[in-house]
Amino acid sequence: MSTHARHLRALSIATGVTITAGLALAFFYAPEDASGYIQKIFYIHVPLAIVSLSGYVLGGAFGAMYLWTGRRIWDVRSYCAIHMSLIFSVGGLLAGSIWAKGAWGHWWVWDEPTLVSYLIVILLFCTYQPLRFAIEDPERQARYAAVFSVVGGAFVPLNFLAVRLSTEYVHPRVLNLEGGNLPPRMALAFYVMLVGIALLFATLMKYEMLAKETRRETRRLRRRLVGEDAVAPLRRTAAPM
Amino acid sequence: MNFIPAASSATDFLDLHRSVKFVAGAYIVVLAVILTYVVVMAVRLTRNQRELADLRRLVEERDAAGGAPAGGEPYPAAAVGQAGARPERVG
Repeated sequence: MSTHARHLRALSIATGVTITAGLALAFFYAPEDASGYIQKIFYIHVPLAIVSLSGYVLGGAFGAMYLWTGRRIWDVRSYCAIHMSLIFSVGGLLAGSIWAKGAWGHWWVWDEPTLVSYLIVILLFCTYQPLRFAIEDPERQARYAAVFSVVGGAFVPLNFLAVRLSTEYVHPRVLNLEGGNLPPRMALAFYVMLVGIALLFATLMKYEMLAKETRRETRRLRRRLVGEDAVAPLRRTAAPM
Repeated sequence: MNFIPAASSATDFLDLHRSVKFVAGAYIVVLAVILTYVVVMAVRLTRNQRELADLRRLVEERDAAGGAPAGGEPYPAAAVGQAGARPERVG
C-alpha cells in the first residue's frame, strides 16, 4: 500500500466526524450574535479562508524543501497544497460574498482591505498553474514553480500583516493577539470547524497525491511492459511528473 | 467588531427567514465547490487504480511466464493500452 493511501481512511473518517461535530455545534450550540442567523456563515467562511491562506504558506514551505533537497515529492506536495488552497479559496470567497450580500447589502466592496487583499492573493496563486504549464521541461518547471511558491507563500503573511496594520476596516475581526473576542460557545464551534476544515484540506491533498502517485506508477509499469518507445510521450501539463 | 448577543424583537422571524436563504446558499455553494473537486478526483483515481491493477496483473503474468523474450515485445502496445484505455496524461 502506498504511503498516501495508508492513513487515508482514518483521515477521511476523522474529517467527516469533526466537520459533522463542528456543524452541529455551529447550528445547535453556538449562540447568535447581533447580526442574527446570518452569522452562521462565519463558521464555514473563516475556517476556509484561514486554511487556504495557511495552505499557500505550506505550499511555499514545500517549495523551499524542493529547492533544498531536489526531491520530486516536495514538488508534488507543493503543487497539491496550492491546488487545494485555490479550491478552498474559491469556496471561502463565495461564502464570504454571500455573507456580505446578506450583512452589508453588497456582494463585494472594493474599499475593504481584507477582501481585496484576499482576492489579490488568490489571483496571484491563480498564475501558478499557467506558469507551470508554460514550462515544458519537468525539472525547470518544478524549480521555477518552487521559487514562485516560496515568494507567493512569503507574500501571504506580509499581506495579512499589512491589512491588520491598516486603520480603516469594516470586516469583522475574529482572532487577535489577545485570543479573539468570541464568546466561549461560539469559539468552541469555530475551532472545531477550523480543525475540521484543516483535516479536509489534508485529506483531499492526500487523495490528490495518491492520484499523482498512481498515475506515475501506471506509466512506469506500462514502460516496463511495452518499452519506452511504445509509450506515448507525455502531453504538456501543469502537474508534476 | 465585537460579538454582541442577539436581542429578541418582533422582526426576528422576518430576519431569520431572510438570513436562512443566505446561510443555506453559502453552505450549498461551498459544498458544491468541494464536492465537484472530490467527484472529479474520485473518477480519475478509480480509473487510474483499475488501470494500475490491470498493468500489475500483466506484469505478474509476464514474470510468471519467464520474462520478456530477447529482442521481442512480450505484449503488444495495444493490449497494454487497453488496460489504460487512454494515452498518458499526468494531472
